[in-house]
Amino acid sequence: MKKRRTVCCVGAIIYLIFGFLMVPPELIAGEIIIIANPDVPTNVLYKKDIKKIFLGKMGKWQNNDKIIPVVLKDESMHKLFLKEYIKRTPSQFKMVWKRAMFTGKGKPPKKFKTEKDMIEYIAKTKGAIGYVTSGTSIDKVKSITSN
Amino acid sequence: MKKVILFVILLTVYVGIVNVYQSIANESVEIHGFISQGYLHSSDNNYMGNSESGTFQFNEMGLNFTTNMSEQLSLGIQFFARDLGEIGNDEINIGWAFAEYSFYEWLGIRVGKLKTPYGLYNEIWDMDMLRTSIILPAALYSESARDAQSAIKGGNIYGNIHTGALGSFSYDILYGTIDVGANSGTERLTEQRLGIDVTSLKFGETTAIKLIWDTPFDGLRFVGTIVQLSLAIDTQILEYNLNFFQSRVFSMEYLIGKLLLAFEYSITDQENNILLYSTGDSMNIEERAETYYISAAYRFTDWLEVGSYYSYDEDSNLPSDNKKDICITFRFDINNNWNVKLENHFFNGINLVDPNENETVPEEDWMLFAATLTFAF
Repeated sequence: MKKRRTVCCVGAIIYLIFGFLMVPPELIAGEIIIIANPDVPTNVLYKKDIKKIFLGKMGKWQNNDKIIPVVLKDESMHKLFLKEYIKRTPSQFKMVWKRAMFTGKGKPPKKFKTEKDMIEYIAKTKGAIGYVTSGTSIDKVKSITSN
Repeated sequence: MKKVILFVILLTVYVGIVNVYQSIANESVEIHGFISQGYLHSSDNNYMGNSESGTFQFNEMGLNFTTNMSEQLSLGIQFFARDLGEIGNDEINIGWAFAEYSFYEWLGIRVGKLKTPYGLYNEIWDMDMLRTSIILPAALYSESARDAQSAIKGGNIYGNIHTGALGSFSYDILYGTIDVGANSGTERLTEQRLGIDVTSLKFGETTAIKLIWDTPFDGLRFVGTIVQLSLAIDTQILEYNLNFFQSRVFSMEYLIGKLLLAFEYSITDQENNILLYSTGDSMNIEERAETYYISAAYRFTDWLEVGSYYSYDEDSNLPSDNKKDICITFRFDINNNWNVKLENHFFNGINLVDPNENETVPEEDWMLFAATLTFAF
């Protein structure tokens, strides 16, 4: 009985060690930066305003240009962005935009497969705002400081 | 059979449209749709059809097209059809259709057929996939009145005002009239209440005002709504005029992580005048109804959400018609497009029950099971 318990404990410890090693490294909060088209009339946004933008509650910049939020298809990146800035789960986020879609009051944000595609789109689209991992080359767009 | 054919047509149109959409890569028009097939079975009392024996006469479907003509101007239309017992019968109507011009963040205008801004969930009532429960609390969202409550033909101004420390305010002010069409629940409800056939039913001017306060506390918002309208009903033996009808609703919604709490309370005042053709006698009746519900829904996983509500509907003239409803719903999201819901209602009261659909005296305590399978894209 004592031998069986020891074997089980050792097995559990080995499993936990290998389990942690096999889990893909998750992005750490703070690695996401907000980017926008260079013509967007601000370099700083409150986090609550970023939340309003991506939940469809704020539709225009101060210069009356339309705000065009865009997101990434990458689930882990998108989830981290939602957790850090929007405080919503992916299903809650989807529901917000489904409601806009089916009442005719908005379109869901465009989704991009890669950060490169998102940056290209934001660079050429007036009013566009999105997010990438820090360290990504963002020469064609500007970063937005959030506070 | 008709519903099957319609569903196949919709699906074929969707597949065809997707192919065209992909080959031309034209992203200027967005197309979305849904179809929801339901089943109802009540323990006693027929509800909106032959529910005591079990009925599939319970479905909704819609297809919408929206496009941005410019940064400020957008157009959209949603076709909608539903069937609930004798109501709707899958007749295709326009659910909403409007042109919208956005001047500023705080001012925009829409004209057309607009969903009535009433309470928390009136504007999404037609779309099963946008809410937890199958049947919304009848305290504010009675299926019989859905046609009248659904939309107003006219215009509205709307906007958002962001104050910073106090949060944000959104407003919606609508003016127009209501057009319920044939086979409406409103006509059936009127015939049920008066006990005679209606020959004509016409709404007068309708105003709806909604104010939303998104507080500085994340997930907490308060909503105030006022709707005012008038209605003229003609029958072969009497004229019934709803000269004054005003409904005031206070709503609160609080999203805390995966838990969503909601509370809505309404007071409705109406002044009716009845004129009997045979004698020329006329009488005025004033009525007040106070109703409320409280609800909670929790998303356990990406595929499972459980919700429940308690709904109370008081009829000041006929206390025996007071209605209480305890509902529990299990929602299963199979993937981004499909969901299944299973729901049970425990009713006390016969307010929902049409005596014309029930040969025996309705039971005071009864249950209703509802299930839906919904596809949306």
